[in-house]
Amino acid sequence: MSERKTDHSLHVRFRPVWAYIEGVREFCRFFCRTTFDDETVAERVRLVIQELLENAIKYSTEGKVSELQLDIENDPQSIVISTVSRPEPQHFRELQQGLEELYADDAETAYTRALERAARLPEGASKLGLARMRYEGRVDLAVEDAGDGWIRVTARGRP
Amino acid sequence: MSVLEAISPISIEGLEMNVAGGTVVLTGTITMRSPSQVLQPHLKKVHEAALADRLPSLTIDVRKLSFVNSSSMRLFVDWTVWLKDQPAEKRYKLIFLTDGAVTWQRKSFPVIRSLAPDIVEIRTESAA
Repeated sequence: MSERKTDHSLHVRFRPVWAYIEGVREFCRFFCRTTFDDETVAERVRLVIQELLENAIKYSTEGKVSELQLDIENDPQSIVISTVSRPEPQHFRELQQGLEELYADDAETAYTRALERAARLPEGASKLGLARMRYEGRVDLAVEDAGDGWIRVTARGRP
Repeated sequence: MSVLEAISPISIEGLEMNVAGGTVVLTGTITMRSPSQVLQPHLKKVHEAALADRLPSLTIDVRKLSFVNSSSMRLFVDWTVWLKDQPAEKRYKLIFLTDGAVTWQRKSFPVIRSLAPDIVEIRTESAA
């Protein structure tokens, strides 16, 4: 039987308020920098956390709880970051569609196209955050129905 | 004094902007919720000053800008659009001075440049 490796995980739960993002993001960045002893990984994680939280908070319905869950495992080496939130129902469909469009291209091409859209579309419509997480954060993204109106957006990558 | 040099420093939600020696220096982070409302007017003012001064190029030093959210990233794209909208003889070269050790700068500015290679130039130099 193989030796069990150390698991590192972090779970944070808080109200969907913009003012909390910076503190949570920087704490998680510290956590990753300490865990991996690698500034580049910490930078990537910081980006993904910022974008996932912004997205969850922007689209959360008022008065509901959003949850940030960050899991880091050493065996196999992976980073899994997920948010659980309760947005308006149409946001789930928009996210699904946005991810389908995102994965029609490789990460760099998709990011370039998102920047082009950002130049001509209003904020949010360009899906720039999703494309940037995939390209700059080097993660794969998925969205799932978590039941009772809740959705989970998950970013998976390697350190 | 040039129009650009007359622009006063600003400090907004973790970001500082100063004009020094013809270079615009951005320091801190840009993570505001509505950058198009809060920050874009200040950047537009810089752009208009560069046009008024008939500068051949304008350097934006972002080396000490440690983090920018995606809503704010589009401000740099908007800047290239403002320049594209100008007649060729009025345009200036937009030079981003970046630090290659900063991941977001190393990854994102080449993509922004690919949108407007005739307008945008990237120079890399350590901030240390």
